[in-house]
Amino acid sequence: MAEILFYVLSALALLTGFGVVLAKSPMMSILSLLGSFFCLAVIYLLAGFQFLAAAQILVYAGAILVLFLFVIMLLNLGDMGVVAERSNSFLDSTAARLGAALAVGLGVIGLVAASKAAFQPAQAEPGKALDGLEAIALQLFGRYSLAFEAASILLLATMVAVIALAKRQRKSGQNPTQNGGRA
Amino acid sequence: MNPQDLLQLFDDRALAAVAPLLALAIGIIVLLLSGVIRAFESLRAPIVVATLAFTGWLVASNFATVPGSVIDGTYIADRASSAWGLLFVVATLLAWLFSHRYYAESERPFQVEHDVLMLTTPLGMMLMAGAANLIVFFIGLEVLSIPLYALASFRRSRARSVEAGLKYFLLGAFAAAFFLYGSSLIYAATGSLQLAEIKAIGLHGPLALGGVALVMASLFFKISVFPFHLWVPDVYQGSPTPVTALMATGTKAAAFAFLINTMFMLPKSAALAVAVVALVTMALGNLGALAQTDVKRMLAYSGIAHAGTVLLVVAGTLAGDPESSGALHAALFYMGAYVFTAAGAFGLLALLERDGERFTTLEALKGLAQRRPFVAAALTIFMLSLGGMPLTGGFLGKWMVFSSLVRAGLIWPAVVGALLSVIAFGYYLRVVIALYMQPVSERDAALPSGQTSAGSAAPAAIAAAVCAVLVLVMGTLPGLFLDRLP
Amino acid sequence: MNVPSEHLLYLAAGLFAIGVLGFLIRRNVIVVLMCIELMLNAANLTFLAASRQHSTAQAANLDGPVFAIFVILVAACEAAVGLALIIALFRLKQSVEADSLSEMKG
Repeated sequence: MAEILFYVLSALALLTGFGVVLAKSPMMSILSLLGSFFCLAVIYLLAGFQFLAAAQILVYAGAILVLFLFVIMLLNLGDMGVVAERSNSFLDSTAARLGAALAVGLGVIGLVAASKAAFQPAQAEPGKALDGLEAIALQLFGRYSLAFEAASILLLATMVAVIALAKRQRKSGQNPTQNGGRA
Repeated sequence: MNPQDLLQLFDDRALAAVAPLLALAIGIIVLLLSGVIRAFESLRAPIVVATLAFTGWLVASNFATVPGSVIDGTYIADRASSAWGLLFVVATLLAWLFSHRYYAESERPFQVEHDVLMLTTPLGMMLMAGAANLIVFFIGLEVLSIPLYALASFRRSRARSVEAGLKYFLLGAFAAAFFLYGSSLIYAATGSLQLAEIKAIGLHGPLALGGVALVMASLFFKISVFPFHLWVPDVYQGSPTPVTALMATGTKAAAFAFLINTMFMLPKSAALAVAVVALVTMALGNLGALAQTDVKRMLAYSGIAHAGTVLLVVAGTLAGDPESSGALHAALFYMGAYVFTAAGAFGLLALLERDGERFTTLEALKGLAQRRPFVAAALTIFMLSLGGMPLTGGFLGKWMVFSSLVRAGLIWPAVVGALLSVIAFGYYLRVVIALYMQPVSERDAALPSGQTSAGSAAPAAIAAAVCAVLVLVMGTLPGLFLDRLP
Repeated sequence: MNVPSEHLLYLAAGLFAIGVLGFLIRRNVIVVLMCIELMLNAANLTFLAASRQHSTAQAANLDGPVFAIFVILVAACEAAVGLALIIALFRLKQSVEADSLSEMKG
């Protein structure tokens, strides 16, 4: 049963992945991406990674993609992409053909590499979470404590960077919306 | 591992090893707080300088005491990583000094953010250079990259700056994804993320080799090597010049530090391929630079050529350079000289750039020797060092790279590389000729001599002078540095 | 689930290739950013598949899940900075097409 679910979800994840690339409007792309991430979250769960599945939905789908959605709405791009984009004829330009060739090549490399991996069947106990919270916490605060602390600086730097990039400068005598364009 | 064991990870050695990182982190937070309180405005510059100086001192003491591999073997503070660390601190300090009074009045409200972001970058670089684990390296890479994305587009009212930042971001994130997928394949093949364990297990089979190829592609992007160099000219030209100085020196040095640590991943048979890639990079960089009229863009292309030159030491090691630390020494000395030279050159351009891009064209530099003789003299020193003129640091760096190749038996790449370096002289000399032998173009003659901002630009001028002196010292008294190499 | 780990790797390779394809052919910068997220997810899936593969009943190999957590964190940071840059571009050009990134040539 779980196996069938896995293959169905895999197919769905790939289809929605293509949807991200091929959708004409950014709104459809983001919804496709959301679908793809949900499929992946269930796959993580099936593979025994309960915490990661939760993080995938809470952080990735819940926070990051909503941020995307927010910006698309903010900039009012809902259907703008359709007009400007040459989505239907994307294989016309040489760059696009090269890109497609490179992507296919990389995919084939990944597939061939994976097929030659010669793995033994996985030994982990089925049904038991592979990423127990306590074990993960011990890793985060043990071996990876330096990376963990550095990540806090990374978050701080990100906040400062976003403020420097996006905060509106208010000058006296200037219309505050002038800088913001349509936003 | 039990919870009780966690504290033992942080013994005195570990604390000494991460002390420079802690010092930077504390400096960042204090600086950020000083931005909130208006009364502390005059303290901001001293905070930046004090943080960098203290960090530099801690790194230097690590160079002497060598804490070694710490925190469960994820971070290494040895002589090599400390030497790189010193280089990062110096590069950041130089870039920060050049950014002093560089921005227009309208961009000043975000000066604190600018300084905080600049102070964050050496933390990332040190994590990259000291990383013995792929996670630590990746976090270091992002701690370095994310501030740089923002700094590149810091002049956000200028289209070029925003374009530079966005291009850098998109390609940087693309390269980061390559790194992640590559390291996930390496992990799938070996079951470990520790460099030492990966080295012990060995990388065999298509899974591991595919992973190595992707990881190397992302590193080649960071050091701007063919075929991942196309972003460099636009990003370097569009970014604020002090940020360009930081990108050209610090980022490149950090990526090379990690590349030297991960050379073992490449199969021995790749030596010739790496040499060819390096030579193609040199050729493309030099040819691109020859065609430029904008000096900033020309220096970007020259940076590509220099990255190719340093990459040659990797080929030398793979081909079996009998001196085991030959690559490390050559890369360290070369990048050391390059940090002072390139940072100095970009810094002088920043100094000259009073209003927009006027001063970064070759045309605008004509006859500068008459108006500002000291600036012209310093710029000449930097150009000659970039070209590899004897008695400058650049020459000795090149000599070490090529001798490593010769020791390894790669004679023809060494010869071709040396020839390409000679071609490079063409465009460096063009700048010198413009400075000294061509009359001031009529359009510029009427303009004031550019001394208006000289008083407030004193920190930048002093930094440039120190760079020029150090470039000459590295060329004439190399023993001072060579004897201390790890 | 008794699916061999290779099949998880196949799925990841497919997702990564789709991400690369989208990155290279799409002109809308926001969609390009989404494709990068897709590539990061391919990496995450590989990390988890490999962790599952290298875990035994006694000891789980947790390097993979930990890396995946860090990847999610970094993805959040990259998305925030990337979207801020896109907003900055939009304020200047009223567009998020890559074609508007052509100030410098040569």
